[in-house]
This record gives sequence, C-alpha cells and structure tokens, in this order.
Amino acid sequence: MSFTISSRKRDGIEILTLAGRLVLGDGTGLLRTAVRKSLEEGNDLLLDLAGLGYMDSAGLGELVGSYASASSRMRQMKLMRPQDRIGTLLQITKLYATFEVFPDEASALAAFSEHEQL
Amino acid sequence: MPSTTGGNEIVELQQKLARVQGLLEASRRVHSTIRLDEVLAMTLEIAAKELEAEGAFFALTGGRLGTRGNHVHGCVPDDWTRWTDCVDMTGYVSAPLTGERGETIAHLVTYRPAALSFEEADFLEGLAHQAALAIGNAQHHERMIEWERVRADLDAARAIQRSLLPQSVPEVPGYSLALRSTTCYEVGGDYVDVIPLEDGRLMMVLADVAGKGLASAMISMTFRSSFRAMSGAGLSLHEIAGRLNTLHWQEGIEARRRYVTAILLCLDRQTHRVDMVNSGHNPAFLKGATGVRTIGASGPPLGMLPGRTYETETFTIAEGEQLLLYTDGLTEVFQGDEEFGEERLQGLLADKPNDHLLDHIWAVLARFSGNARQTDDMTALYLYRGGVQ
Repeated sequence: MSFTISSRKRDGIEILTLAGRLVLGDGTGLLRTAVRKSLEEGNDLLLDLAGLGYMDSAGLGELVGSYASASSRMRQMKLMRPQDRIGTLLQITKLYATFEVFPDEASALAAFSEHEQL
Repeated sequence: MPSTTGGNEIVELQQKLARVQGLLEASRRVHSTIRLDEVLAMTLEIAAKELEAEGAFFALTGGRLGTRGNHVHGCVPDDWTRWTDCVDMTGYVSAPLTGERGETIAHLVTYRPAALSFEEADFLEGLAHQAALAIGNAQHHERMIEWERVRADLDAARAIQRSLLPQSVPEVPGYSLALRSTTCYEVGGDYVDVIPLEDGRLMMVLADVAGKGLASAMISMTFRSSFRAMSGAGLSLHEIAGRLNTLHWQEGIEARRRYVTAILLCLDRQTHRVDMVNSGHNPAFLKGATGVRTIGASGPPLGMLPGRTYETETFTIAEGEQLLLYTDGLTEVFQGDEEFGEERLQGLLADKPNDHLLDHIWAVLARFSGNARQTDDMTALYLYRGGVQ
C-alpha cells in the first residue's frame, strides 16, 4: 500500500488527509513537501490520520519535523483521527502530549479557533 | 565486356572485404581494453587513421565521459567545440553512440575537408557502434570497482561496529545477563551496551536510532560515545537522558530525524535496586510472580524535541524476576499483514527464567515470519536475578 496526501482548506486551515503507509523515502518526502508548501502559504495545519495504517520510525520523525517547522513559523499543527496503531505509537513514544490529537474534525477545528481567540 | 565486369566485381568485393576486415580489426582493438579513457582514445585514433581524417573528437550529449574533460585527437579547426548534430558544418561527419537504453550518449565526429564516401561513412557508423559497446563495458567495469570499494568500506564499518559491541557479557554474580543484536543491513542503528562502574554498579543501555543502515549506524556511534562519557560521571539517569537529548537535538535537522529511543538502566547488585529511564522506547517487561509489569516512557525519544525532561523509575528486582528490553525490530516482525506485537513477545517470558530465552525468541520470530529476510535491526537485553552465584 503506497502513501497519498490529499488536501482541502477550511478557514485558513489546510486539512491534509494522509492515507497508506508513511515510511522512509517517498512517503516522508511527500509529507515534507506538502507541509512546507502549506506553511509557506501561511496556513495552519490539521493532519487527518484516519487512513494512515502504518508509520515507521522515519515517518514518526517526519511528523515531529513537520510539527517543529510549523511551530518555528508560529503556525499550529494538530492531528485527528489516528488509528489504534498510530495512537499506540504516539503513546509509547510519549508524543501524545506534544501533539494535540482530536477524535473528529469538529473538535479539532474548534480548537484552532479557541487558539485564535487567546 | 563480361570479363571486365567480373574484374570490377572482384575488386569491389575485395574492397568490401578489406573494409569488413578493417572494421573487425578496429572492433578488436576498441574491445581490447576495459579502461574507459583507453577505449575513447583508441576509438578516435582509429577513426582518424582509417578515414584519413585530420582529427576526430567526441561530442557529448550531456554528462561526462571518462576522466578528461575533452576527448579530441589530431588537428581539428578552432570551431570544433561549436559542433552539434543540429548544425551543418563543412568537413565534419558524425555517427551517434547509442547507450544500453537506446539513448544517444555522444557523437563520434571526424574532421576532413574532403567528403566521406558512402563506405567510409558506413565504417564510421560501425566504429561508433563498437565504441558504444566498449564504453558500456568499461563503465560497467568502473561501477563494479566503485561498488567493490563501497562494499569494502561497509565491511570495515561492520567490523568496527561489531567490535564495539560488548565482546563478552560481564559476569554479574547473582544474576544472569544475555544480549543479542542482529542488523538488517551490513551495519545497524541499534545499540546495546553494558558498562561496569567503579562503585560496582552496572550501567546498561539499549537504544534504537530511527531508520537503519549506515546513516543510523553513524548516529548510534555518536550516541554511544556520549553515553559512555557520561555513564561514569556520577549523573542520575534522567540527567544523562536530558543531556543526551539536548546534545543530539543540537546536532541539527538531519540528526533530529534520526532520533534515538532508549532505555537507560543502572543495576546495583548489592541492593538489587534498578534505576531505569525510558525515553520514547517500547516498554520494558519486568516479569515477576504476579505477572508482567511494563515500564513505559517518561519522555519522548532523545534528540527529537528540545528541552525535554525525563524521570527515573526505581524498583527492586526480586529473586527469579526477569527483565526484558528489546527494540521494535522484534515486535514489528510480520506474517502477511499480521504483526508479532508486544503481547506475543511478552508471552514468551515463562514463569521460570530461561538461560536460552533470546535464542528462543529469535527462533520463534524466524518461524513467525516464515524465515523471511529481516526488515529491521533486532536487539534485546535479558536480565534475571538468580543463575550464577
């Protein structure tokens, strides 16, 4: 199963839908390019992980790298709907606390606007 | 007259035969060496000599050919560098050299004020064809030599990495300790070490650098140096973890992508006290009489995010209790889409300690994957209280 990213925008937030296997090579390269492009356009990012079945250590590194890029540009990046396997990986590596992870799109989008109001 | 016509035919046949022989001889010569520069020089020399041209050269279609910038033989006019196959320049005749995939790699060009006859142009084409084959062979040979050099480098790297693994597992009175590590490529990103401290305690580490292969192996070597330098400095484990995290993060963006998940452990065999820090690594298993306790991470992997802090977990290891540390290469062995997983690995810890547990685990994993080729580095450390007194 390969890796794909599709994108849509809502209120200045780019929602990137990740699907397949995020592993070293094409997958991590694709994510890096998509995130860089979106941040250069000045978007906040919401990554939909519902279709992401597997992620290796390089994939996890890329996800954290994306988060660091967003933070350094004062943009927000949040995650939503991780499958059990990805959720467990985030738990094991103690990264659940670093990322903001939401069960659905409505709560994730609400969190972006709360942040704006602060 | 019939006899004259027959005579002409014979002369023509003899000329054709001479050209074929000439081409055969040229072919033999360009194939007589495997060195690219020699093939190129010889081809030009033959072209100029056989066609009585003033000079000959290769016009490249991109990239480099051989070690020299230009390949030219004899005397060619000053404007020869402007030659391309798209312009018509008096006195120049060319034939393309075609690569293995049908692409034009260069043109063999001769310069002679007098036009080439049909047969001469034919010879040039035949020579270019033979030269292309010989160039292909020479390039293949060069790649083989280069690959051998890389191969020798990797073998040396592997030898160094193997030599840096604990050469013998230290005897720990009252305990039994086993280590096992197998890489998926020549070198790997897993690291396991046991360092006896001056006060009699034993420092241990099991770490996994993200990714695999040479790049991860290089990171694991730096990690090893940092850890070893700090292990005897009287720091607590969480201080060591914090410092390792900062040092690695400061190495920059490429190193951050090759972060390290690790378990640091310190055993005091007098008091049976174990200090442990888990930084983003798979949980350790502590199997006792009442079941398995897992010791999870107190912070993220080392080198991933700046300024993270870690906590030391302390427990006492009782008689007969077993501790298993492992990298995810063990849990992420697949049978089709099904992963071996933590639960199965935990299940291999029997009630009684087993001196051959790591051999058993490796055998079970090989069976589970149907003896498939290893896809990740696999490393484990197994310690139990009991055994050798």
